[in-house]
Amino acid sequence: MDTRRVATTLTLCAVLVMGRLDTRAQTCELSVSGVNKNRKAYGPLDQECSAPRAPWGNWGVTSNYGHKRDADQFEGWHWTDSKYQWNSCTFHEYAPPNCNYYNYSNCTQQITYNPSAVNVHGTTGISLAVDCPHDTDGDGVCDAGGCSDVWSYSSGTNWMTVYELDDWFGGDDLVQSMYFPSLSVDLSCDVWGCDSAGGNWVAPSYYDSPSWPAKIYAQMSMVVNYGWYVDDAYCEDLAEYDPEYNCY
Amino acid sequence: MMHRVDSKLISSAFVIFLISTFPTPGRASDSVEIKGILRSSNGSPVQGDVTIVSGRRNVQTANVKTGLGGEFLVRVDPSSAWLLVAKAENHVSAERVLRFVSGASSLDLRIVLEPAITICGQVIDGEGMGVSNAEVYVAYADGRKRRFFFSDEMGPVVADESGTFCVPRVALGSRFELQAWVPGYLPGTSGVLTANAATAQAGVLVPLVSRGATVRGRIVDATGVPISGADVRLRVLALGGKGKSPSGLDSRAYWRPALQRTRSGPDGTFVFAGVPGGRIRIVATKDGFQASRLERRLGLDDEVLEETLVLLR
Repeated sequence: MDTRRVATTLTLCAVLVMGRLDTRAQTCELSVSGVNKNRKAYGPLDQECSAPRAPWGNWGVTSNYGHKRDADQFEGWHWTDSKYQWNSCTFHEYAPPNCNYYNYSNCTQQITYNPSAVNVHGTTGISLAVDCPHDTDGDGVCDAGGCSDVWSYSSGTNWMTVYELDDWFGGDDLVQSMYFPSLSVDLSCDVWGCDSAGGNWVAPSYYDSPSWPAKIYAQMSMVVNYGWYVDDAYCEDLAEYDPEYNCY
Repeated sequence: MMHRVDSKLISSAFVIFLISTFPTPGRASDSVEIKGILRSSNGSPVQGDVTIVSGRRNVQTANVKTGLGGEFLVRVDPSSAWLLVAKAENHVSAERVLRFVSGASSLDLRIVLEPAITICGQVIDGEGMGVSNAEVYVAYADGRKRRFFFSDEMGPVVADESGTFCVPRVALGSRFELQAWVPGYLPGTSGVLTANAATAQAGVLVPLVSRGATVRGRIVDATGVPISGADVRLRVLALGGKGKSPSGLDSRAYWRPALQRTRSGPDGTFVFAGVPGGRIRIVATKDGFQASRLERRLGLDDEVLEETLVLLR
């Protein structure tokens, strides 16, 4: 066995372990949501073709922002069971054109009840290690550290996998996955927190399951809901003996 | 001689290796290939997705889905520290902090995801009435900390008009606590419970029994004219156990009232409700004025403090 290789391997493991323990207690916590609007369903769809629920279904979204759930993640247009649902079966007696089951494009396609209505399909949080609040210009007011250490938040390729949620027969039915371009949000933060900020709205770049045809459509964006500074006793201790940190 | 040096290096590293969970090959390269398989705690692979996060000032994430067998592969720049977050349906997510030393070219991770159970309940006040819009957080008794989290696992989950809520994913079999907070109350907790079918079936009550103190005030200039739109912050200082629930668990909910912020109204007034007792500092700032601050000690719950802060030009 190559001893240097073993040493390299073990040292890497050691650093990984140290990394896991390296936590700075004072943080800036960001709340980041994936949101969508202008939802459409082109079909074909065969997710809810069996009685007793056919053809309506509530749709949920698993994404890089969270898991699918029976909520208002991807609202349709037909009010059923306290949800805006989608015609999830475009075959048999539910095939287009039919203005009972389609509300768009001459009763051949579907569009959400309000194209500008924004749905939140998932929310994540991230705790970022930051410096203790401190005063760089000597006026007694904290002007550095805390959330002012955080400038922007960028997400790589975003994705939404849409399911027809089925609580009668156990399994949720995959509709399709949509992939979106990366998004970036510039943040406006002071020491104590960050204002809400949103990114651009983007359309799907590509699909899978299946990759063609495009059965559904939506625009998505990313919103930083807030940032807030989470204090730590360490910073108060620091303020006791370092005037730069004794600010407010 | 070389053999002795290598032996010492190996011995030192091996001590730390014993507490590691990452069996890892390493080879010199400019990028590191991170691969692995997501598995459930019973050993079976699970399909899911992986997010990697880097940066502090400019936070960047990248997202990849796993294959059907839970396998994933990402390449990262080893000069940065990375956080890897893995999640899958019906499981709670897991994260690993990755830092690299030169010489590493690949990393094979074994990520085990705990099965999840949905826990529902109600946030109630001292008279048993539901409290609407309360934020509900999850804390685990094993002290696990998360840097990147999903709100449907760790909160905040927002209770509805009747105070009812569901946390969709709590680690099955874990010891956990639900903590709630809403402006106007001090945080409350369910106490430590076990996440199992019995708890899920019974539901969890999270009482908010104390409203804490109320701090009201006015912001005026040197002539007594009210100043609207001033940034007013309240910070609780040196509060014993700050940030921890009565069970001693770290708590995002218990942090919430410790640092509050508002803006003065048209008549210069402001109010902070649900303030914990102890030493507090109130700071008011507005462009064109010098900052003003005061410190007070708050006593029992329901104490109302009325203060005036004067901003000087």
